[in-house]
Amino acid sequence: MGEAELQELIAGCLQHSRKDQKMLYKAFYGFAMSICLRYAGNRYEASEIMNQGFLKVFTNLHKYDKTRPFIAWVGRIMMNTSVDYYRSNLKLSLHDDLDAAEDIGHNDLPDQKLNYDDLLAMVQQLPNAYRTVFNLFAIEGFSHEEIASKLNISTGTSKSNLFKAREKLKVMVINSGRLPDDDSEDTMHKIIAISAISIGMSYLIELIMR
Amino acid sequence: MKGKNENKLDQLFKDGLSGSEDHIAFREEDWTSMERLLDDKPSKKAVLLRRIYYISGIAAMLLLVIGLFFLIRDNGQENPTRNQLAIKNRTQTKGNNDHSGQQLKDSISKSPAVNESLGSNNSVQHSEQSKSDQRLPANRNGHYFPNGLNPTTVPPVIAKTPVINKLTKDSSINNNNNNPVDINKTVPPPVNQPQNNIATITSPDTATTKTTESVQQVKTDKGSIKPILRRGPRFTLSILAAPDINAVNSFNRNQVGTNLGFQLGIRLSKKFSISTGAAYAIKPYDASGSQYNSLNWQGKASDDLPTNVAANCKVLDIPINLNYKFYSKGKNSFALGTGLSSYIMLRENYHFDFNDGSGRPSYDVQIDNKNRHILGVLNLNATYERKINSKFSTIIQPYMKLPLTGIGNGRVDLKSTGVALGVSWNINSVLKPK
Repeated sequence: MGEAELQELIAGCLQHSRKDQKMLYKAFYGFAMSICLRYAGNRYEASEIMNQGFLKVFTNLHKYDKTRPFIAWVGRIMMNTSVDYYRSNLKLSLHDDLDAAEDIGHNDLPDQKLNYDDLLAMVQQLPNAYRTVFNLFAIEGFSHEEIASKLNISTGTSKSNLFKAREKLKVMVINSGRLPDDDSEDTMHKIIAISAISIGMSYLIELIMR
Repeated sequence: MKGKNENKLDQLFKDGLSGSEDHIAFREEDWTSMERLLDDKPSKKAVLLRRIYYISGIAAMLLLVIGLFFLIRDNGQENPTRNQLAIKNRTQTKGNNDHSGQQLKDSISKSPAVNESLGSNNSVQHSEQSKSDQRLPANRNGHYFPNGLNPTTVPPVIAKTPVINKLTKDSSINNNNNNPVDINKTVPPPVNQPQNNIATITSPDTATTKTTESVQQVKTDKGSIKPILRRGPRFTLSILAAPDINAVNSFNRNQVGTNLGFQLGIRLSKKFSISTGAAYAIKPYDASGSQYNSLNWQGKASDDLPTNVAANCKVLDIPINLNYKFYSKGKNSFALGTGLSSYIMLRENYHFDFNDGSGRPSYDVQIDNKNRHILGVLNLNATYERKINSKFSTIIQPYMKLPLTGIGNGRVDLKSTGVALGVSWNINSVLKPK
């Protein structure tokens, strides 16, 4: 999109033209979504965050400084909206066991190239607190101090969350090479879980009927 | 080694995830929800809020007006002429209790004489009693039976007592298990009796009963809008709990009970839905002896009536309601509903207290599974529903339950109101995942 065309769209949006709003939305959809997707746990949450971000874009459009690149402004809004979205559970420090991670921690990362969808799925599997810090540090390039002030957490928490995020991701990357194994294990788990639930349910129904 | 690995990992993700705009295809539904956000938020937010206030105001007013309607119907009888009529009505009803027209005549003809013999010293006390006395029978019957007594010659306030005394002796209370409704039926409609202003007062009352009937008619008419099935029925299951304020006649003396139940909702169209279910309610209430209309007491003097009846009823409430959703946008929706409830009285506990002077001990009565009031209660409610996600939503529902018949063993005019809170589960989300 040319600069003139963009300015025209922005002017239209300032007039609350629904057509121009849609065009702007469409033009920055992929960019905004790519940011929100890696901060969000799933596609559904990502589009919710993105729409809230776009709402901020539309309502604060008059505050946009035209001398700066528009795309960066949109990107910053999307990032901030994402961070805000998960702010409530950012302080949460999860104590899941990292034993498995430590075992594999010494292994080298495979040199294989992973595609976008695989990487995104891995990031999305991280707990919100880890994912946010990992995004801000590894992808946006913020320092721990910046992250700490942004998220209103201590630098220690930021570092520990980044560490845990990396450990988890490492396990996922390494394991991505031996998926078939995992799959069978996964189905085993599923079968056990389903049967346990059904036994529980039938017991409960029996209890109620009595 | 480790640091290098981490850099490699970070780099892997940074490279893999950035510059990925092209991977993401535009989805029209995202724009649809964006449009909804745009419609809701900017300038229209204030308007929306105001609208919500208006709507809740209207709903509250509606509840208030309907509540007042019932209250006024009771209080209207407090004017003197009605007072007389009501009491006359009562004497007549009681006279008929022993199924003897002769008895009735006797008692009525005797009453003036006895009145004279009675001093005026106890008249004040009686008038106080009778003030509340007259309410219930009038309310129950819906209209008054005029009789031959001339209100000007018979001060009914005093007349009442002797008649009742007389009847207590004669009829010896053989009508314990009679249903008051039957009694009303056995009362012969008095036609050729002299009256003064009775007719004018009777007509408005019959008018009110007619209006309530027409209200019910409208309801059944609404029910026939069923054919507007658009997308087939949709089911919701709600669990509701409410603090329940119970009172007899007016809400001056109220007690708080609990109400716990579930409701199954069937959506007929975008706006209309039917809901039914079951609720277990504990309804404690206080009533005066005269409000409690036990047949055992039909012939008794107001002195012999208990001064206070403390009741605690466990009720199974089965409502059938029709709801109209008049506002729905985004996550919020508002609906108004009305319908009829059936009360199945599971257990009724009554505690009767008597005047200290009467020398009668207080006693308790427990009745199990005896009384049923099929479609005997009018429901009015307003519902605010807020979606949590596609499957669940929270519900806040102010409601009012107004009896059309007397409730419980005492046939009391037991009104309930409260605010139910609950969670609603959209069953279709499980039946049809999409």
